[in-house]
Amino acid sequence: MSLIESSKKDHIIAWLTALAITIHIIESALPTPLPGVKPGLANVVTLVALLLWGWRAAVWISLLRVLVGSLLIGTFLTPTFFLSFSGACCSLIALALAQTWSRKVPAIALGPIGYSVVAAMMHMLGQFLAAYWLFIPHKALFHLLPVLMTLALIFGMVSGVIAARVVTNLNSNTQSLSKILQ
Amino acid sequence: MLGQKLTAGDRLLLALAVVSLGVLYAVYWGQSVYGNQAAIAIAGKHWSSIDLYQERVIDVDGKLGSSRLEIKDGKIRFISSPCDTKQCIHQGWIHQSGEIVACVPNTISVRILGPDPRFDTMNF
Repeated sequence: MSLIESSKKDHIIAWLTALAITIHIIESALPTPLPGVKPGLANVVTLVALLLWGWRAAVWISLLRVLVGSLLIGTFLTPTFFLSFSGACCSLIALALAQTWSRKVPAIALGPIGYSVVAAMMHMLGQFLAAYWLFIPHKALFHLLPVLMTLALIFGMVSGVIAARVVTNLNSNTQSLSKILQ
Repeated sequence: MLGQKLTAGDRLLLALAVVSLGVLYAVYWGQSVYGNQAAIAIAGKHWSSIDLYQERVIDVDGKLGSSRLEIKDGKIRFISSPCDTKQCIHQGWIHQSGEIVACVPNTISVRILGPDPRFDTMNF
């Protein structure tokens, strides 16, 4: 009877988004040594979605997380939000390209860790460039870039290992998963 | 554990990532952009541009009195100032293009001039 019909996939996206928002908020409460640096564990959810349900699901989860997460934390339309948003957009575009790469050249297809590293590093780069263009147009900022990118690489690998685990466990434990996938 | 999960593509990508990190470190940490001139302003008005490789101590008269600046090896610092907080002195030497040290109470600011000195900061 309802005008808007929600599919099973919509429900999965909603669930995963809720999970990602929770992680996002918990992480935002952690103190960070450098501004803009956090483990980005919410991206594990985006990655799992990408690996199991494809890029579109990942886009929904990632963007909804940035939007709702910022509304809940109270940073909507503040610099933090714009940094987060540019990072998310950049990493989603990179993931789309990475997936195309994997499809075009299956011999060197990326696995969870590869995707995760691409996403984390591009997230950092997008965020950094946004910070440079919008808020701190000072060349000295670039001295931070190598350190930030190194941290992104490390956190990306950690998230990748976690995402790979999650995907393996979901595949072996959930028999209905194959049904959900269709 | 990690080894089994890495595909050939992952390895290639990680190699690329490490190489680009190396390039980043080389570009941004290899040699810093040293400025060789500094512009001194009093009450926001340009007062003088000085060569940072000519070792000397200069006195600049601001609103409160005279601040003393030391110049040496392409660097500059405040060594005395008639302000209360002495933050200008605590900041120490500056040398990189675009860097600024200022004694706000005494209205004296020093900015290192470099190849690209037009930057400013926006803050919230």
